Amino acid sequence: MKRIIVGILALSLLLGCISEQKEEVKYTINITGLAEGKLTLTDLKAMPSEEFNAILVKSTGTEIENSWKGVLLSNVLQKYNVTPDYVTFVAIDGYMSTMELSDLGNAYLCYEMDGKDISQEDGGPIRLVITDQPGKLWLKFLKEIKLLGKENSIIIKGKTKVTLVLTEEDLDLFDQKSITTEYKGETKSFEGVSVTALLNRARYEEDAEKIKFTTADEYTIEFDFDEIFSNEDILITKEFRLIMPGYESKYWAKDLREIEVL
Amino acid sequence: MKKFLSIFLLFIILGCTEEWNFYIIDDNVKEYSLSELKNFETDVIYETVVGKEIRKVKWEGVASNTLGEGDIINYISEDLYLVSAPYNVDVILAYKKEGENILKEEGGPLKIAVDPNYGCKCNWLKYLKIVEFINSKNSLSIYGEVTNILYFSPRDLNVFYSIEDIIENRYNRVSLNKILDKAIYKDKAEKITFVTENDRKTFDLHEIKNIDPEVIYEEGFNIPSLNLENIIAIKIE
Repeated sequence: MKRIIVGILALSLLLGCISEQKEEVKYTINITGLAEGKLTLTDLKAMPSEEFNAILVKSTGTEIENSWKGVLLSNVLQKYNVTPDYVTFVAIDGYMSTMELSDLGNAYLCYEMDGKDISQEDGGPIRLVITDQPGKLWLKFLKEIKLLGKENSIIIKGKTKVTLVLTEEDLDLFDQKSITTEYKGETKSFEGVSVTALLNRARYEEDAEKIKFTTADEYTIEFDFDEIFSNEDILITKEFRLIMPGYESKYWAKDLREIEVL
Repeated sequence: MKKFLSIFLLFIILGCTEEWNFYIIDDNVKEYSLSELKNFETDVIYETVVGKEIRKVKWEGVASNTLGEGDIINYISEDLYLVSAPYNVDVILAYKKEGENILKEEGGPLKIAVDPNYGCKCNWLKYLKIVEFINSKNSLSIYGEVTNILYFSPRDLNVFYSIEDIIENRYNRVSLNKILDKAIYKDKAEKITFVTENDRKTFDLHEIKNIDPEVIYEEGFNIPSLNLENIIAIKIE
């Protein structure tokens, strides 16, 4: 009888381990953008890890200290041999945050909190922890890490309160606008996102005076900020093309990569 | 016994009919009840909730940008928490979750539900009392190395006192440290820049914190002790 019980117990433990193993393999973070790949919990646990204490500062000002175990983001990037300018973190529940790489020196992909696997309630199994950034950026239920640079996105920066880094698919998150206008002597229709909407989302600074558009081949054009901001028909298409109704064709920049508010 | 039952019933009825009032502020202040809000056109925001399974939760309410004009909307809770969001972000004044009234422990009866593509869950302000439409050019914003980017209308200097003070627009001054604390600046922040229409003046953040000057609204946001007039923004670096 003893043997049977011990046998059943051993089998259960073995099955338990296998099922846990399967669970770890199943949970995957997609790496997209400048490098492509899949990072499982098992992959992450096999990488050099660090244990540390960190204080989560909530947007109400409340502070919560916990111990964490995880892998430095820079080690993960090294694995993919890539140095993006910006990184967007996407969670299963739809929340996302984009940060400049220079602000992510203390970013970790964590899988343990207070000595235990991170529970679902606490955002596990993998949670982003950035020890020197506010808690609202410590994304739970991480599912995707987008690696961004001028190669695959438009950056809106300068005199803005938020830096926006937008891929082609991010432009879909904004209202699309269609216009019909003259271009090189022909009447054509274009669809895209209004530059005004993007500037509103980036929260331009109140003393903004100029706006500069830069293309992939470093061609730049500069305008008065108010002139562009007040014209809601100026669009950016999914192909990152600047649509400038009423302006000469030389201003219709292709392969736009940067909008800088000055 | 009958008397006891009657009193009990009366309590239940009073409990059920307890009304939640809130204010919409643009050029004027208007008070609304939750019942009145329910007469407006309904909008919906879906939230993805991760539990044993991933499911969509339906929040119903009224789109805030159908209730006024501005380029920023401020939301203020009963406990004076402040969220500033751009006008064109999808936000609803939510009074129903999955078809039921929102429970008190979830921030009901009135809270805001925000498009998940914008920011974090911390924007889902509970116990909503004030919706204020702001023109950013007439406000004082605080941004940079802060947790919360905020816009203060002159009236919002009262957010450090009480809902009633905001409604009455009772005070026109507050200590700068209170504004900084509301925005929660990051530990690494070292400089503070005051942006006026034509100028920017930068100071050491810690020195200014020690001085804790008063911000006064008098036809513009001013800090007399630093000789600063018509401040439109504060940038923390």
